[in-house]
Amino acid sequence: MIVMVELLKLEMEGFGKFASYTTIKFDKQINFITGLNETGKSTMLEAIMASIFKYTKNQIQPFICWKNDKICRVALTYKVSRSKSHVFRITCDYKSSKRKLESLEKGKFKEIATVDKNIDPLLKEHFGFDDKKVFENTAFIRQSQMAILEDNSVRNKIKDMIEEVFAGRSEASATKALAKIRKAVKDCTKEIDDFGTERDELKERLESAEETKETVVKDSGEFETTNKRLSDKAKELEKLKKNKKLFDEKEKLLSDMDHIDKQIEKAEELIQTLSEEKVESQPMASNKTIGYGLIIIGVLISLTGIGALIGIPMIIYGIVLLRKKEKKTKPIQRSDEKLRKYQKEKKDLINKKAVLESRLDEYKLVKFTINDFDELDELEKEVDSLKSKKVELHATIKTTTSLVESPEEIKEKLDAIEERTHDLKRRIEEYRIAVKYLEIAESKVHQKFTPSIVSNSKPILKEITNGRYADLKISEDTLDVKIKAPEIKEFVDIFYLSQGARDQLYFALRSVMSDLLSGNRGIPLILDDPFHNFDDTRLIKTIDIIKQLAKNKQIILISHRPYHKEFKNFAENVIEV
Amino acid sequence: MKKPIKLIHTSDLHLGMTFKGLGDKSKLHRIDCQDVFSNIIDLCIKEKVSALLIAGDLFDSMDPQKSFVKFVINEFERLKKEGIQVFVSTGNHDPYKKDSVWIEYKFPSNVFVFDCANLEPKKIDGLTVYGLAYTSDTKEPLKSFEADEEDNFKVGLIHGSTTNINWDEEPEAGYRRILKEHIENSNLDYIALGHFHDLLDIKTKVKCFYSGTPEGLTFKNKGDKFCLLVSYFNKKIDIKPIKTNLREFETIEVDCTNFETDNEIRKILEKNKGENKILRLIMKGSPSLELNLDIDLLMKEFDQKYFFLKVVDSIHLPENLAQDETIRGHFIRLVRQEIIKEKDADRKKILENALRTGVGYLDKKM
Repeated sequence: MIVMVELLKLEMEGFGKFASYTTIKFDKQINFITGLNETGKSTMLEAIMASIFKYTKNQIQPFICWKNDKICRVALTYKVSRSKSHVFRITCDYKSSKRKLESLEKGKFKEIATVDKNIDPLLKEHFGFDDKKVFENTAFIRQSQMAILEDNSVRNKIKDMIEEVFAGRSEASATKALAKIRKAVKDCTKEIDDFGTERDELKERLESAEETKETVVKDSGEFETTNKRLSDKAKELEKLKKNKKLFDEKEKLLSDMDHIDKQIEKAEELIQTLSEEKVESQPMASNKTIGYGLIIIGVLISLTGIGALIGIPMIIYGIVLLRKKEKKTKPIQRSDEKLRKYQKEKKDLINKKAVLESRLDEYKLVKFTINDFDELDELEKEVDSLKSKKVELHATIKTTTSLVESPEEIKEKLDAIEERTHDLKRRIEEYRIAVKYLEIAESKVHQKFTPSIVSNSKPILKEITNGRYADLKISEDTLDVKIKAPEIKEFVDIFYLSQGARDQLYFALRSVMSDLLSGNRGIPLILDDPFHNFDDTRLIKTIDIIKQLAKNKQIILISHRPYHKEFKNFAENVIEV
Repeated sequence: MKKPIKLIHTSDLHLGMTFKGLGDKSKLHRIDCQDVFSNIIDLCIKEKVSALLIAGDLFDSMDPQKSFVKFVINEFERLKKEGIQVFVSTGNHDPYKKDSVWIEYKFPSNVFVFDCANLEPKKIDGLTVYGLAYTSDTKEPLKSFEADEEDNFKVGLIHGSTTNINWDEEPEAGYRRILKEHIENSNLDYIALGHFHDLLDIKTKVKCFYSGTPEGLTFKNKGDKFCLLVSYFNKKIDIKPIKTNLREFETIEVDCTNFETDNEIRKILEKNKGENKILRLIMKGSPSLELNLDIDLLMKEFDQKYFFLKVVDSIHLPENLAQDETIRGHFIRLVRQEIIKEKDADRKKILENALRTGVGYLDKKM
């Protein structure tokens, strides 16, 4: 043992139940703190801890004294012995948040550190710990741990204890922690795999969505082209139709003109004929005069009596002539009408022709030939087919777009998965690093301490078992403990040990481990009411064990068991609170 | 006496934007942006405004998905029925160029999209709007511009950056500088700006405002968002911001150094909850290893109380770490050595997390 640490004095003021200033002095060996429940035994242990380790606000809160809330102060005086002894005092004022570490020099305390930054490393050097819980876990033996020793269903209690002390936290175990982290890695990996499946599926969907988009784009492009072509062709068709109409109109006009020309010609012919007929009937007018003359002369001659022979035929001839004339007058009158009619008709036709001519004049720029309209039918057909193609494409695009989700949305989902996968991968990496170093730390501690635990505990075990058990083995790998049974001279599983032997082994190992894990310091062993449920036999035996341990280190024992006859001459220092 | 002229000024809706940081809520927030746009259209109708001014970045890209364009066209149609004119000066996200939405689609006749590179006037009853198309990042839109003297309410509609913003911080912010002197020499009555996402009064002799985006798009756009109701009467301009946002972006940074349990974080999450909140809680500081942080669990626990919640782990290790002879102490020492050796900040954080994780599992907290 290189360094021995011994508590000398605890001072409390305004701490928990200790409202007024209280001092407790410790003996070098066994300090027996007794008293009924709720009298402040545990508070004393807390005060020791609150001196060595700075409590957080939450941690100190339960110890703020309601009777004296002006002060909350603890101070611990202790001795560190290497080749030489040094006395230190750590004072912690939780009201003002001030701490100071003093060293006793020439009978006087002298401040050596006043800020956490300087105090904590020194305390670590003295006690070997800078974490309250680790210290507690190493230096304290609690009632609950004793209870486990009694529980026969817990097979590996000693092994568990070693694991726990090694791990640094109560009920902790590096092996269990490693198993849990490995499981977490597995869970994350599974999640990533699941995401992988989902991602593959999404990628496929994305591909098809992009394909569809492409199709849609292609269709849309085709739609646009079709639409454009349609509108071009429709315009062309419209123009052609318009031209055709003009052409047709001109053609119609031309044929009308032709027709009129023919009519005019016909009318002229008729007029010609009629005019000629009229000329022929002119002499007929003189016939009339001759007729009348003949009749008058005939009458006159006939009046002469004899002249009647000549006169009467003359009259007759005159009448014949007249009659003949009468007969001829009617057709002459009709042809006149006709002539006028035709002349009027001709005039009308000429007028019409003039109108047509002026209209045709409007078409003088229309210079199409019928050949120009050869494509009309074809164009009409093309426009029709383009129209139906447009409708078809529109329908296709609408269906495809409505059926398939947008690539952007799939990408978004993919991004979310990528992000989550990235996070998981990062987490896995963290876990793997944790596993790697935890494994190293575990084997390091196992290798470093297991042989020392075995060798250091052998003499203690021999002493406290009166030589019955003197040899044990601890597996560096599994921490399984085996003890040499004197009867069969073989290493047996501690499961087969009696309750008493288990207790002995337990105390021996704990005592050795607290020294080893504090970095080869003989730190006080603090027993927090371990005999609570013990019967008298076990109690007496345990007292024996403690007496043996106290030869090598300071023991602080609290118990609310009242004085027992076996406690006589047990503790050098009995503190009743 | 002329009747008052009312306008709604908005910008930067970024319709069709994907919100990468919002995970599975991205789609919902995209719909929010559409809803907000519809609400602005409703507001235009309710307030019987003469025109809706859009100062750029209506769409997040120049070729947005058809559905967004169709949606916008339908909304514009609603304004057309009410005889409300729409003026659009395009932005850097939806510039006016070949193949852009502005050319590819036919917008209703009440929508006027400025298509030239310099400010040009467009007049309707009593109002002259000077706008321009977004053609280049470097152009200074108001440089040597002066509006004609006339009785109309003269409004500028521009997508660009006023220089009293520190645009070194954001490279995009420097696009299309608008100088204060340009504003003051413009002879305009009101300048409706777009580009920055917060409501901003550019205090010059001419009334000049950024309406900001009407709905937050990133964590930079924190708090409430607005559009502006601009009224002009008897040469007097009144500007009234009207809250438009459906969700609210918020970032809370919390120093966890003295936190002993994650209940402190729970308290903060409980206090700030809101079903329309988009909260990013950044945990900072150097809490002790005793603080057990399970971010996934916290997020799961509060997921329903927020529209979106992201808890960001930016904590570091405390300086004093127990380095005793236990496995715990050895583990801390080993990882600590790696952390000190590591130069890369991100790798350092991974190692720090590994240390916390290892200790957490060892201490049985996980």
